[in-house]
Amino acid sequence: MSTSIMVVDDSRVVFTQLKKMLQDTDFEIVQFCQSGESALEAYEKCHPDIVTMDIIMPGIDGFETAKAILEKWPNAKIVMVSSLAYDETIEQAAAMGLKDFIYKPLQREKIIEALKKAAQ
Amino acid sequence: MVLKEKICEYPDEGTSLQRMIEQALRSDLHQIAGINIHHCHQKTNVQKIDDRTMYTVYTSFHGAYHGLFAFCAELDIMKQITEHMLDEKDNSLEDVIDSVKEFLNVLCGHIVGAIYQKTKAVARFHIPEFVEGIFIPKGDNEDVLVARYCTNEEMKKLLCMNDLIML
Repeated sequence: MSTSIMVVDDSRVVFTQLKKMLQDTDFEIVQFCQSGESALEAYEKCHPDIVTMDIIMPGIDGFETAKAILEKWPNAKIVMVSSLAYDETIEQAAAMGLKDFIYKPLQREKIIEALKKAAQ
Repeated sequence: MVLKEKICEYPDEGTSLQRMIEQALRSDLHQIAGINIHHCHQKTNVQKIDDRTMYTVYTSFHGAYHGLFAFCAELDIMKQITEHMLDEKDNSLEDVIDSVKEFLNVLCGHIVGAIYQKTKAVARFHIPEFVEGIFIPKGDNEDVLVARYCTNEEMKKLLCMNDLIML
């Protein structure tokens, strides 16, 4: 049985890359949202097993979106995906209870490793 | 406001900021698009470059420092970036625009990360914009740093411009 993934990123390129990287794995992308606002609506409808979340997006950013999801669904599993490599960003993600932090540019092995870890 | 142009011809003579930017640019172009760049030794005025085949993607930084950053390249280079990012050839212009915006997103993340490592100064950047031609964003500073590069084969042109003010 596959693990469902919701991708939240304003870039369709990231969605395309993730779709290709997760082919032939047990991870299936069930939803793609290009903003935090649409992610909140979509999460309520599809309840994915894991969410991958970009930080910089139009409207509310990834951290605000993750916080809003976790407030309503404390058991949500969220993995941040970004090129912003500040110590405080990583610490902020950990403090919020996010499962992992993946750096861009995306690499297949690291994505799969992070999703497997989050799925546990 | 008159923009003064400072030409950064050689890495050793550039500022440490310029070196950080160049390092991130070289690394990301190589890793993401398989493109290796070299400083372009042609001393050409930016305004005199034929920009009919050039496109610009740019963004602004805000936080502990603010400014603007623009990356200009010929369409062929942007298509190459797109092909590598999407792992497909024959991409639409829309795909090219999306891809180079994401490329700049990744590059800027690495630049602000490098600046943070050195200075502990934190900044964010906005979602990139894409325009045709060479676009020099106007900032608060009078000086714009322009670095010119070319690729190994066919001498394709790239420009990298930044106007960053440290607060």
